[in-house]
Amino acid sequence: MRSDTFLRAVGGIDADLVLEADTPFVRHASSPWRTIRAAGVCAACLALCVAVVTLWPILPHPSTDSADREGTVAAVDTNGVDAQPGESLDRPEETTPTDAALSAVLHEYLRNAGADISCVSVEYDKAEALWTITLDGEPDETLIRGLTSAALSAIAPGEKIQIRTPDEEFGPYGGANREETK
Amino acid sequence: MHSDREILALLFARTEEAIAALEERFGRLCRRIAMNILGNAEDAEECASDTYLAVWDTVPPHEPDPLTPYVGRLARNFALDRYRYNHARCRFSGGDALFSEVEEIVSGESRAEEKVMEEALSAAISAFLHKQREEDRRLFVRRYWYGDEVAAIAAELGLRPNLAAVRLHRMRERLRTYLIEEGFTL
Repeated sequence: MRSDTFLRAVGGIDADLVLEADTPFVRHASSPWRTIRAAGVCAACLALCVAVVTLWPILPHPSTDSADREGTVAAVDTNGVDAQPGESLDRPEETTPTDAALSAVLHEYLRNAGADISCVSVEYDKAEALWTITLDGEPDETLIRGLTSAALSAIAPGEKIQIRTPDEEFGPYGGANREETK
Repeated sequence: MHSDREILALLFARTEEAIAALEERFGRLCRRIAMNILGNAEDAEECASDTYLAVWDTVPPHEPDPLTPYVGRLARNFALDRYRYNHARCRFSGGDALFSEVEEIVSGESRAEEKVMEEALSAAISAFLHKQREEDRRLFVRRYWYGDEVAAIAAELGLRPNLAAVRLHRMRERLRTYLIEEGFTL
């Protein structure tokens, strides 16, 4: 068969095909793929994005612990501590956790214990390596011990805890402060 | 501009106004098709004139409806004849690319019964095209019926020229396979 014979045969194709080809082309349904391509995203970039999203859960991520060791915070809830992202917290480099994290531990303990009191503030004295926990009620000795134990489990080795209650400056157990060293 | 029905009526009435109406309605199409194959405006104009006369000679008895494919096919055939004539005289034209691409589907072997087979081949190609996606159909018909440049077709369809060329290549391969399966000797 000669090529011009083939071309002449093409000339005899159905009329509807000829007419269809010379009318403006309208895409009936735009697929997501076409939409993405129309936005100028190349196949390689799209494949990379899909791979990253797919593998994200198993990819290594920067640890928040390391950020704390650097003495800086990202955009975290500081629970009243006026620290901005990148700003140094007033605590030793090795200190864990943050004020907010310790406060959260204490709140959770008090809530689980069903106590009718709450933790008003958590303050850290860098020179003394001393955490001062202020409560707004009068806990009994069992609750104080439990609270102290929870706080000690959450701070760094070498740091200390003291708990203050509002009625008695030195607490219900007779000491000036209840202070324990981890 | 006259409609198909009005032009057919003029042709059946054998009034010479029919030629002017054909020129007005299909002149651009005929010149476009012939120019795509021949690459020469003068030759394309002659093909267009030959086409109007051929329509005058064949309608009646024929009563093609719609007229566009009929007129376009005549223009193509005149352009292909002219291409063969010019090619024999070693003149280059845009048709060279068309023939080169189509030879991926058919061999250069000459056969006496080709004329007879032409209508069957047209039907098979039509059947093949109806099975393709609309975008691919348009691509094929615009390239091999209208003879338009790949880059121009790609721009209209919103495709990159390379992608359009690759799709055409794949369609030629699929068509070749299809025609062999249908019993054609290529």
